[in-house]
Amino acid sequence: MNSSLYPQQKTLFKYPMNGNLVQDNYEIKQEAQFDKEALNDLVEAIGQDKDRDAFITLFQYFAPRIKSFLMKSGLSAEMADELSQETMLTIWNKAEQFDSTQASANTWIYTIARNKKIDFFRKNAKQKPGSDDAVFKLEEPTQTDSAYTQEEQNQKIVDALSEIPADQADLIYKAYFEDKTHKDIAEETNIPLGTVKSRIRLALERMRYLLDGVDL
Amino acid sequence: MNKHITYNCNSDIDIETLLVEYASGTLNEAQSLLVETYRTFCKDTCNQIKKFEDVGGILIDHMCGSVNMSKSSLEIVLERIETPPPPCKDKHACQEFGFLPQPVIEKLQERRRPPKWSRIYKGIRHCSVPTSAQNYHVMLVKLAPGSKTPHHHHKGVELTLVLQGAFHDEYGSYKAGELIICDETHHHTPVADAQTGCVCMMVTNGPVYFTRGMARLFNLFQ
Repeated sequence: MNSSLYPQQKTLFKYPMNGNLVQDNYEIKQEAQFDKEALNDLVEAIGQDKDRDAFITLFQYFAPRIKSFLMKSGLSAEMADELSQETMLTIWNKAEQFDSTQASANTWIYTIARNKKIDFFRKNAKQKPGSDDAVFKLEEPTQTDSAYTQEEQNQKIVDALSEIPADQADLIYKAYFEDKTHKDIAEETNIPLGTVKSRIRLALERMRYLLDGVDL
Repeated sequence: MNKHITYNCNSDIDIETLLVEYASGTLNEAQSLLVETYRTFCKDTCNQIKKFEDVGGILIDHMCGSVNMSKSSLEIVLERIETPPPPCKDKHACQEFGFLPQPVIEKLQERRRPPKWSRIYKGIRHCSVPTSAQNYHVMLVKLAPGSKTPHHHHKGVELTLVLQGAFHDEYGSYKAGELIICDETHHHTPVADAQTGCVCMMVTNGPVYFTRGMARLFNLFQ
């Protein structure tokens, strides 16, 4: 697979399969987003009022993202679809426990999706694929979201993330999406473990620093 | 952050890496359990993990792209939310373990049989906690007040989290909520606090070797 398979695809992690991010190709998917408050409100409406409409809105916005996240770690489209459904179901069942003063909705949803993924891999220990090229198919066209656009804010996030050097962003990608431990990453990239650790650490700090002023 | 001490560990493992890997979901189940338990003792650790999870939240929300769900998926889920979640299975009563932090209790409840302490040496009881992590062992160890474990060292990395009471060894003393990270070059003889005794969670990825006296016989049975 080569980078020409990613023609106009706009995504943060341009990820040609030769293993390295190319800074020049660094593009970021831009689309309508819910802002932090809107997402928090949706989850709270689900938790407090069992609001079906809020759930449907959240589903339409987040389930495709969760599915994409799961597919990046190597799950088939069918399995990722099923686990995304499970994740949404858990969101419905646990929404009462959501506390926006403790974590923002996207963090909370991330932890649920992450735990579903972990559970899946634990139950199917043998099925966990390695870094298989076929795993990285092009993303299907994104569903468009209508309201809640906050372009300025998105731009800040986009700017922040594009300021992370490609070698660091590459490692963040592997750690968060490809399910690789720091040690796996070191072995795969032939970068010493200590360097992997410090690059990841730097990237995470940089993200936090850059995003600190942004109301996520 | 609560005290965490690293002995002779050249590079493979450190507290920050554990927390990042925990947050990004790549840490093995054994060490994850330890991190999850460690965070119950320490607000700073919680906050640090949250920071790394926030990154995950941002990534999944803004950076991950999206893939259309299958046509009927929403319908299926809407149908399923109407049916209340199945009642929890009967869980083992873990009376003897009730004082432990919630993540440990929950993991013990996943065991097929109810957990119990078994004696392995004078003044030392243990209970193993099964996980799916290959090559890793999670063990709860209970030392009676003042009891001394035989001199030993371990292959691989050993994480010890003090869950209750305190102990000391040749290098220092450690109390509840503290984490000790050491590698195979670290030989020591832990002694439980004379008043409180001590309960620890140990996560190892290699066998423990007793190095002195009769305790060496235990090596044969591992």
